[in-house]
Amino acid sequence: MDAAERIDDLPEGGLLYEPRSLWSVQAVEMSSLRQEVGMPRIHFYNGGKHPITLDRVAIHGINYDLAVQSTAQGLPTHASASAVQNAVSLKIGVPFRNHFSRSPVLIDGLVPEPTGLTGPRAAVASAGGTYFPSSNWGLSLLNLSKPLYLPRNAAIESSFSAVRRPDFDAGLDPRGYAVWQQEGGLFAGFSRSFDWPILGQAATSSELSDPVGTVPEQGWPYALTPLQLGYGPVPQTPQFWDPTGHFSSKRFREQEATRAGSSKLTALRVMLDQRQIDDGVSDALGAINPRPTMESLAGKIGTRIRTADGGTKEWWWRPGAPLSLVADTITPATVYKLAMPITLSPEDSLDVRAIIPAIPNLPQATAARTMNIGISFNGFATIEG
Amino acid sequence: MTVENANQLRANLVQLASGSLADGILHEPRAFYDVIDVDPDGQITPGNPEVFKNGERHPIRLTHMTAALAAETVEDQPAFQDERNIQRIGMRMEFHNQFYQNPEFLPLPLWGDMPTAASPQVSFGTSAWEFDVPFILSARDTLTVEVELSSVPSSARRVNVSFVGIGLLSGREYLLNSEASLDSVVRTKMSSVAFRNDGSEPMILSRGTCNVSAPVDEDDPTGDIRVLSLQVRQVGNGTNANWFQGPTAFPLMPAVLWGVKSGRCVVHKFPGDGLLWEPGEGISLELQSLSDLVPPARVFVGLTGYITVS
Repeated sequence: MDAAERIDDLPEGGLLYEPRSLWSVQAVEMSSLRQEVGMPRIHFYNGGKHPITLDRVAIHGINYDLAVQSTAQGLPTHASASAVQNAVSLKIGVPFRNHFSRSPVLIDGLVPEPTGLTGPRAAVASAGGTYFPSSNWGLSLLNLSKPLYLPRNAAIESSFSAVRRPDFDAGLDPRGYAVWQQEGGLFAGFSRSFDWPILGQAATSSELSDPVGTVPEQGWPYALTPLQLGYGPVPQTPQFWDPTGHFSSKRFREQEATRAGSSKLTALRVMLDQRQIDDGVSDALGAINPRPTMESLAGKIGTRIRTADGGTKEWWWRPGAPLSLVADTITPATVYKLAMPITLSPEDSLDVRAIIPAIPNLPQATAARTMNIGISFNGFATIEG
Repeated sequence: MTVENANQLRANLVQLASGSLADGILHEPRAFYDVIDVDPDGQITPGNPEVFKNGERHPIRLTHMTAALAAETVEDQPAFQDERNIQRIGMRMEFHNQFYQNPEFLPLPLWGDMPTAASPQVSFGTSAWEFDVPFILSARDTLTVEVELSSVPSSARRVNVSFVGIGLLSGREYLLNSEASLDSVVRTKMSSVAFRNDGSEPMILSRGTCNVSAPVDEDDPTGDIRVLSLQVRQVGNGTNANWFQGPTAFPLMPAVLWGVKSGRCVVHKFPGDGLLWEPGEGISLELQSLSDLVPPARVFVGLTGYITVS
């Protein structure tokens, strides 16, 4: 959504707004028969105290190494994010009220929002394999549908998770950069920034030998090796919510640009520099033709965000939502804007069913037969201030 | 776009343009640009001095920032540099000791907040700009368009520049278009006849596009807009000044920076109504390599908007 399309610029009658997302990620084993899978109702349940207005739907393949699989012989062609976005249809309903769609709707078949940047064309990995790098310059953008007004001294806490990735050492670690954009000031705007090393837990060697389509954990958020408490060596493996990826309220407040009062926040932007991950996956694949397209880390990084010392202080979405599903203005996900937003009152829920078509010629390996389907409904909560 | 929307847009354009004319107000697109060779050792690299400054007698409103890497590296090596190096170059702007977006150097793609991808078949070789305020090309006026390649191609590249708008009185659509075939780095003036308003009514031009093809003997026909630079000037009414102002060593603006609407560059929209520069006002701009892995990189940065002449 373009910033210019924001519905209002000032709080209306004392109402405040905070972003919200209802999301789910489900691993479904593909079959040579058509399947209809109900997404857990609890994931699309408004458990908060405020009504939520949902105006966008996003769908994305989660935790994949490849956005588009190469059709080189022997590789499972449906084990990529692209298969999820092109094959899975949705049935959406609001129980006891209406069916948004009685028949399955392919989000691609509606009018997808323009959510892309041109990005680089092709790259060559150190082993000589040529591939198409991950998209959008690594950028994810969430333009808030309604500006978020934070009182003075209030802050936002954001966490970005560690990731599962192939095990290789290519020099520079992947790095993430995040900014909160706010309006006002001499330049008419300002951003509070945060950058962090993206920690990863390596996949096992057997997974690395077949990185394409391998989904090591079929649930989401996946488990990483638990923190070893007590005396002893520092654990070598990161936690899912590792402190390195935490944009704290302290860090947020330190960058206060004005003491004039409330801050008007309009967007969250995150850039993920994942070049050596792309190179590493390409090296593991070897030189294959046609060239594969690498998947963005935005589909592998979980997020959680809330306000501190102001606002509702509730998580904006169930912690762990993949970045690509919630930052849906620029994203590798497919995004559709609902013609008529859905409002869920507290204790109301959506009924979402995914339809997976019959897939012929399934590969033998279970992991390569698994589709990791991510779906989110995004919008905002209306809060009486 | 539906017929109703198109008609509404046309009516709005005519109303806007005729209202401005009646008030004696004239708008023309403007862009300030710089070509900066970033120090690879992490030293702060300032832009060329006095580039981002309003040197005209009228106020200029800037609405967008665009940025891209040059196709070649600083040494103008024949090999193209990895375009992903843009992720490892940070930028900040300074205005009266205020920084934008942050005193920290933010990687250039992190500035992007506009989805700009057109079809992948054309995006790499095309830049399109929808002007913030359309400009008037009066009857018998023309546009001078100069183009230049940054390196000698293996065979000729086709370069196409076009402007699209409607008639102030009739509301009919006009398309002004010229094509040149470039096989050297010699600066070339495109046919001014092609851009001349030979009709009997003023034109309201609202969009411009430039496209560069691959060398015609290559198997892959996808173009590369990064190798093209251009300059535009309206002859007749208007300010008769160059639209694009940059360092003296680069009198033509890199065409990749023209991709405000769609193209290959990172596009950032300034908050609110953007920056208003009165005559003599401006900003300074600095870049920094965020990683020692970045080879000496040449970066293009542009600020786009329009001048208001009353």
